[in-house]
Amino acid sequence: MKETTDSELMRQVRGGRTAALATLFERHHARLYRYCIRMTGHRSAAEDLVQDTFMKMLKYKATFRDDSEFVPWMFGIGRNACLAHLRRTADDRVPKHEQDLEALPQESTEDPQDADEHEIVRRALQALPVDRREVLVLSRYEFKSYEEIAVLLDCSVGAVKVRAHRALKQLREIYLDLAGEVPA
Amino acid sequence: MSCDETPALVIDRLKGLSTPADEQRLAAHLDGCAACRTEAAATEAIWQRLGAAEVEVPSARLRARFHTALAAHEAAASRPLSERLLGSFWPLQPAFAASLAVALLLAGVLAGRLLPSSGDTDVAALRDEVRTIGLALLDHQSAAERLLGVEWAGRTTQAPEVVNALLERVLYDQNLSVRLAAVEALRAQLAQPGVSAGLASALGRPEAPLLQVALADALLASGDRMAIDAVRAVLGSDELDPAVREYVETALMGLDAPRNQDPEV
Repeated sequence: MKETTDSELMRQVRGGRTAALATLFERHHARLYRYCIRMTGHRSAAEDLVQDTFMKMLKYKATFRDDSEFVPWMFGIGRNACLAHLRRTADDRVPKHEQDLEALPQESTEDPQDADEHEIVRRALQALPVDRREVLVLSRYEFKSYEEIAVLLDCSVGAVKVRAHRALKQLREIYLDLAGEVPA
Repeated sequence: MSCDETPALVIDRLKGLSTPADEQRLAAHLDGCAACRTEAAATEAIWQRLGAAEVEVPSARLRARFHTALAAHEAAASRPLSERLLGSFWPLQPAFAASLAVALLLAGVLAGRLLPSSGDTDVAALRDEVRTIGLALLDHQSAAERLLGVEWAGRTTQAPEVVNALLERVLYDQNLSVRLAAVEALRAQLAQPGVSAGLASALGRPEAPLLQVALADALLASGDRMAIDAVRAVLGSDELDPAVREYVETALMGLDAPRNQDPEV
């Protein structure tokens, strides 16, 4: 049997069958959570933002048009929620020490050296300005094409690529600084 | 091609979006430009490091919270129109909302003094709503949510439908942890009609020895004669796990011992 598409489910939600949102949540909440935790560096804030985003979908369901794609629409709401949260907490540069600790994986089966490196990468990402962090998170983890990111960020594809390159360069500098390495 | 064009082509290459022609142009430029070659290698290295970072997984509690909130939303949406209209007319500005709240409070106090109380109806409706959400959790497809439902059921005043839902978990749940948790939650309800019989009917199933031990323990602890007989009867089963048999025999001996000693006291 053919699986109901995300857009069809969201149209059902729009039409009043709110239970269809449960299926959309099951399909996409982990992905949205990863975006939120990479943006905030804070586990409980990321969970709150995911919850907030899905409940906002009910509130703004009328804005889902017949030709809308669900994932970009979801990211649009999630992104606004994330940015509003970051503005509220004035946390667009370096996360508080407590937040850093909370975002650490609770259990890890990684090699300690790998875990250290991943922690440095994570801290470097959190140290980036929000706009650069965002373009990197979206391009590295979330979307396959720069066109989708350009639509989400409301800019040109060329601008996305330039921003992504600059963000990578800055991330590299922060990473090397945190790792105590000398740039090549 | 110039050095200025390199970043965009490198970024395309990192995502595997380069066309063969762009790839050739980039490779040719990097061969002849040491600065761009170094920059491209460093960019690729940090890109790879980003990709290797550990993937975070949301907690089970997030899913439980969402499904509870969704159930509450659906319950609220099915409320009478009069209640929803009141919600939509409630002022959004805090100062107006506070003023209206104070006015309503005063009116409520006044009305409360003059009129007979009807507050119990609202509390009962709220309890019904919570119960609906709890029962939905008990029936959820995720074992983690069902465990939360069992935890809720263990803490709440147990209406017959909650007890029946717990018995259903004991008898039919696919997840052993849920079944064990449901047995624990029902221990305090053994005096309710049908609970001992329900647990006894699950006792005869040999597929989960740990569950049988938990059931036998709960039934014997009830002190009810029929429950104890049900536990004794399970010893007649050829399929009984040896460890369960040993546990039940020891537990029954412990029950019988004080009774045997009574005449001598």
